[in-house]
Amino acid sequence: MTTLATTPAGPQARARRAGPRPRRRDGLRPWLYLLPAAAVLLPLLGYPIYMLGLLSVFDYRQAQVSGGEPTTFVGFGNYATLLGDQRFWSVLGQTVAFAAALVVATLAVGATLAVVLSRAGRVPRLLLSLAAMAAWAAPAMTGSTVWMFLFDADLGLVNQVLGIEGFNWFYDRWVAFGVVGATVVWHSFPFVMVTLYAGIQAVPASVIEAAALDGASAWQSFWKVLVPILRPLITIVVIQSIIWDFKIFTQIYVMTNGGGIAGQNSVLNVYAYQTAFGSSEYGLGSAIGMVMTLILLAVTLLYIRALHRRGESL
Amino acid sequence: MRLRRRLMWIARHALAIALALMFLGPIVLVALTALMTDEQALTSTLWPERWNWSNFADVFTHSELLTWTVNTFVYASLATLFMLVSSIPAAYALARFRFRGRKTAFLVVISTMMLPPQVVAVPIYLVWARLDLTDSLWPLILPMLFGDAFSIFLLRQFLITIPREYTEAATVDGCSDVQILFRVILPMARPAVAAVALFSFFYCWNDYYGPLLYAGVDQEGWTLSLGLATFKAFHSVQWNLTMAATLLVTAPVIIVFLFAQRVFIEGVTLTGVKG
Repeated sequence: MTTLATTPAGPQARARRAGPRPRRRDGLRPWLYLLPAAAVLLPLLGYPIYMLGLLSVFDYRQAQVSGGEPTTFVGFGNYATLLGDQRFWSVLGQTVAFAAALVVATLAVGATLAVVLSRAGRVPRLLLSLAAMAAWAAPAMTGSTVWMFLFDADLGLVNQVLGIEGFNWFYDRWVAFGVVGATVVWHSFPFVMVTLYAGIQAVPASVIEAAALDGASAWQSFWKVLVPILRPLITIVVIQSIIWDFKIFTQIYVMTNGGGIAGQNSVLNVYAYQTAFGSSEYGLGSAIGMVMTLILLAVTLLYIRALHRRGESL
Repeated sequence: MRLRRRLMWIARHALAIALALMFLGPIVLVALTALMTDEQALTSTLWPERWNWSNFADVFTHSELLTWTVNTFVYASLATLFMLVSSIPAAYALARFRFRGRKTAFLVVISTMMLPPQVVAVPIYLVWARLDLTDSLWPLILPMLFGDAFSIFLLRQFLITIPREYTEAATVDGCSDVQILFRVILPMARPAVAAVALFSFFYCWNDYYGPLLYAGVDQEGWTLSLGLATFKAFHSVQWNLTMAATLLVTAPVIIVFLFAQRVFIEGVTLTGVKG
């Protein structure tokens, strides 16, 4: 009874739930258990968002925090500043494009490796899982350090292998994004791989064999058989990756030294951090936070819909 | 036909091994560099001429690595402990009881999970600043006393798979809700509890944003990830030391992870959510 595999689950439990509702409602008791969490989920979700909204319509800087100056209501002033700022738009565009590229890359690498893993022999499978686990466990911070070392202009292994001396990978905006992106994918592919691998394992071998008998190539049976079966799982992985990659911080902040030359590699999270805590522009920082909240809320709605489609009862 | 199949077999294995090497290679390189002398780390040779094990000791004398490790450990353990104490009852309530507002409560949990702490960092930071608790790790630890959305979600996903018959039987036998939670549910949910505990511990251990915001300027209060970032800045020409520090920070995590990987994978496949 202590492992997942032996836990009586699935159909049995579902059938039970589908039956008549329990006679009595449980009244107040559940709230007692929820109390600690509810007591904070409200502050944790409601209050900060309320405060975020409130702060975003005030001129709120260090002087106001220390009480040196009165807070002034500026209405949508912060948003006007933000939306009128060329830099905000380029950071926003970069964030969306970077996150999109990361999601696609992570999924491509993760899915490919999941398929390879499901077909490889014992030794390669062990090696690959080992590598994936190491990448998964490594803190974003140490991963960044290692990749910076690999791509170091003077000593990096990459430059030595390619035979280019002193080429700085963090100088050009797009090259730097590429290197940071590779680091992020290195960190995040194991999750996709493991999830999809588990999904593939659950697909009966007879289905794949039937496809092969009907003359489907490996490529075809992946797209026409596996992908449709795994679609619900893939949806959730995609949405998770979107949220994950959209809020990327550590790799950019560490590897490009706070957003690169003149902030050319900045993403929203780094931009918000620097605006709010670097320049103590709390009001403006809150406005950026609001924009991020709205975007992520939209993605969350998609996530909840996906969960629903997977047949989760809320 | 047979030749073709053999070629495919070779291709697949070659691909798997090449990929594994690509991902394991950097780790090996880090280990080798960590063992070089200062001078050699600045050259392009790959194999240490002299195995300089003292680098690992030097890391401790050159930095507050020990303090950072202790801080990180305290932060991760306390946060995980607090998370368990608060999230288990909440997940239990969401999974087992039918009550008005249950769906809403669950939706709130999911939404909280989706919103990164960074988004609402400003108002929360200002609250902690008013309480005079910034320049410490408490702002990262104390909130865990009130539940962590991701953990609640993962635990709930597990708890709903436990058939009601178990709890009903326990009720018939005269168990109270609390007794059911501790005697029936928790023993069955051990793998899920282990998964959330590990996820939480790893999240804290690897966290960079949180400590960057709250730990303050005094090195005494830093965590490993924060320390490592500056270590690199201070010892930029001593790649051997930087890599030794990196290895010291990463190795324990990877080892624990390898031992616990089954728990992780179960947690992930259970919910389709990453930690």
